[in-house]
Amino acid sequence: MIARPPLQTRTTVAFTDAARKRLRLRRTGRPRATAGTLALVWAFAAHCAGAASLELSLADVTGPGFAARDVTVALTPADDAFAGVLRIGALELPPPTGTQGPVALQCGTLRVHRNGVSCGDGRLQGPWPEIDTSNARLSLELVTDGHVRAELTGVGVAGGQVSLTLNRRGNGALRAELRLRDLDVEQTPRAWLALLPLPDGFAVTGRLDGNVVARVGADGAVDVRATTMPQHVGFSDADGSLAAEHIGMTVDAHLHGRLDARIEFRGLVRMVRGQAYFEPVFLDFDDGPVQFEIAGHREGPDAEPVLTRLRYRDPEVLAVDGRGALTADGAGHFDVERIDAGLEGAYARYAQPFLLGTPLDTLTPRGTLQASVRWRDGGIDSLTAYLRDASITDRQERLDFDGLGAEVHWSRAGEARRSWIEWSGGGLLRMALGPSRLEFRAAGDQVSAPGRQRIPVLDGAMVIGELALTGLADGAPRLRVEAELEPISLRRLTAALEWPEMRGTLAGSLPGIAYHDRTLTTDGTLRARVFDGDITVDNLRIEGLLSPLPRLEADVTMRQLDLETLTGTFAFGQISGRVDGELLGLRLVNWQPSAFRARLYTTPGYTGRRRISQRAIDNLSSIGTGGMGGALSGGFMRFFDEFNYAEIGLSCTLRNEVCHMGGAGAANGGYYLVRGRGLPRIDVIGSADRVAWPLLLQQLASLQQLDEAVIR
Amino acid sequence: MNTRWIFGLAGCVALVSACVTINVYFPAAAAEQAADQFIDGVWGSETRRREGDAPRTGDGTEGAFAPPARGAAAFAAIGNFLLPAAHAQPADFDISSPAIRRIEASMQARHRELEPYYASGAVGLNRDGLVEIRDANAVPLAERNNVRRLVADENTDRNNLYREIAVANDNPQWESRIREVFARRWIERARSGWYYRDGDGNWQQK
Repeated sequence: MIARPPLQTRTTVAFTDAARKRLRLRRTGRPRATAGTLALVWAFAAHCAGAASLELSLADVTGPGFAARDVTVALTPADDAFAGVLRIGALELPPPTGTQGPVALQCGTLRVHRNGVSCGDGRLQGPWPEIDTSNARLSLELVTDGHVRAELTGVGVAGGQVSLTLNRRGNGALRAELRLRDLDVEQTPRAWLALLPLPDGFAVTGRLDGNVVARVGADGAVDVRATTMPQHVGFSDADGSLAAEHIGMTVDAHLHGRLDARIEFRGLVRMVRGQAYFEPVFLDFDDGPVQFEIAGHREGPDAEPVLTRLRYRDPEVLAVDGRGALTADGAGHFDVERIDAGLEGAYARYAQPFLLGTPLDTLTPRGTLQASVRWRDGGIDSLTAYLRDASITDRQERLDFDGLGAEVHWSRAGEARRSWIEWSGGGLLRMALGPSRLEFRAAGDQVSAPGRQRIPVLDGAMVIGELALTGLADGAPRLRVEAELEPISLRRLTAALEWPEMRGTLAGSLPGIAYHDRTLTTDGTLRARVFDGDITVDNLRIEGLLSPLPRLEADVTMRQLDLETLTGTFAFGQISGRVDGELLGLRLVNWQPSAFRARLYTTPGYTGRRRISQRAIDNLSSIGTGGMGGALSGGFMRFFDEFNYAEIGLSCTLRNEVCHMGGAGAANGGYYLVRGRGLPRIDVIGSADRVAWPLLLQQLASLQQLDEAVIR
Repeated sequence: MNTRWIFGLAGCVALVSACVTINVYFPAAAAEQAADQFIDGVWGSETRRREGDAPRTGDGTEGAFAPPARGAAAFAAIGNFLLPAAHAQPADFDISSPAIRRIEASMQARHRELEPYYASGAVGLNRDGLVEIRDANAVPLAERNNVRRLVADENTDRNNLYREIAVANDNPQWESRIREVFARRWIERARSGWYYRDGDGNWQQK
């Protein structure tokens, strides 16, 4: 075969407009040429070349968004068509693809006909180490009216396959469909992942199937629909606050409008399998699929995207619907018209994780909550919530409420509607609460309740005079309450606190109770009446009221307590008279005394009856020996039921679980507990100066049990 | 810059810190010993066997009272207040109050849950005598909130502990010193493989 020198033509081809493609051949006299005339040129060239190949070199081909440098076309006649190879030295595409090259397209059949060119059974080669084109096939048809049809199949990418169908009409309308089959996200070319705004250290795994159909109208209107089904998705960030495993999901996205003007978008994500952790919320989609939908628009290329619709569905747990116009910085308006929460599930999934480490992290609420929220310009403007048929229990048994209902209205500014909360029964810190309904108003950063609302407590009640909750906005709320206690029986109170049983009642006033930073304090004196006397509590402070280790500090003063009532409490036997006392530096840890300086003594100046029964003397003297029937039972003294006394005194300074004892003045070898008077005279003298507190408590408790046995 | 001014300031700082050191008596050695005993109680006996520690102070206190001491009354000679006298506390640093014992029991129970996370490096010990999540990615997703809860509860207990020890020793102002001692001893007695923060705040593995 005689080799002829190939025809070399330096040519510049320029697409001046995608819609009206014109080719300009510069070196050959620069005739204006359509694809049809170019085909004639090629046909002529082929004729000149005979059966040999023909090669065209074109310097540059440029068009909107791309440029091809050093383009050569080699043609070999075959039957009624050509086989051809198109080589491009460098293909410049918009980022992130960038400059690619060299690229070669080999057409198995290249037909040039009156209306254009078609390339069948095309194979692609390029400098893409991450893309396997060995099985890829391209068919391409260019028609003189500008119609382009292209179908690229079997491109191996990231362990899966990608195919693309493209149909562009002469008027510029375009339809492109991209199909992704089983792509491995980890093997996805880095440049593609770079499109996603992922933070450093963010790792994604998974496999991806999906279809993307894009339509561009002749008028420039864009419509893109994507349906993707990522499977086995996992991701994690560097510090583990965002993570997912084994996720199966579908993502439907739809975007339409004009790139240079208004665009509307909608996205629907259904999470059907796997687990995700968005600190602190953990969602297990195997327990229940979750659906999330947003819609919005963007007015122009420079405008902010605006969220107009929001839907969230976690079946039987949480449903949220909202609409409005909200930008990412929170400006605009948005109404979350519906929040429906099944409390048990919603608390466990969405609330409790935020409450870990607070006293509220061990609750089990039941019932339903319905709420709506209005958002205006960067903040919540108003909120309404309804709680129905609810109950709360606490694994730590600190609080429980039954028949709980509430209607809460809050607004950022202005007068709020009246809110209320009610329950049919319950308890707080072992105190049983009766059916109650509390009314209040919530507005701005405070909640206030109007005067005199009654909450039954045990067999008495707490009457709230004034209640104010402030500082809600700055995250350090402060509660202030003034209240009065209607008589509560000490029997019920001490039983509830698991203290030794006492009798009598407790009533009084609780002025200025403040609760702030997990600490309850009083700024006045709490006054109560117990044992027909007065008790005042100063400097009360309770830290960690609902914590695992509540700590109470207080100074207690007692005046004119009636000993008959008091000793009735401890079943000590009868003692009549009045005592004063102090309990200073009292410290209870977990409601058990850990330190105090206690003193109990006959009220100075008391002139009434002062008698002590034989039984009381017996008990006093027998305590610690473990037996009944003290020293009095056998002797002459047992003929007397009662004895007169001058004074009674007892003191105990508790520290390190040891009680340092004292009485009403020093006696021979100890201290007077009871200083006798008249005849027959009895003195009770204590000698132990240090007593183990747990033992003392044990003995008090056993004394009570003995007493109960005797009564029965 | 006026260097004399800086030296003056430094001198003041030195003076102030010197004053603090001098004025506050703190039984560091006894505190350290008490901390070790407590840590053994919470983390188990491995370190105790290794170091051959004495039994805890708290064990010896209860039930160790003297027999009832009977005293004669002056006149009718009956009413001795027959409660046994208590022993004095043997140690000069007390870690045996009911509150501390309660915290210890709570921490002991929790340690069984926390130990695997120390071992996996998910949780480490910091310089404040507290624990911290070091590597959440070492924890399966479903367990992450459980670890957050354990860490929060553990730190609540630890903060209460330092405070209660100071109070039990009648010196609430010792709290920060006790915390320092504990911070050091927790790290010192950590098992090999566990993580802790070094003086610069960087994580180190034992």
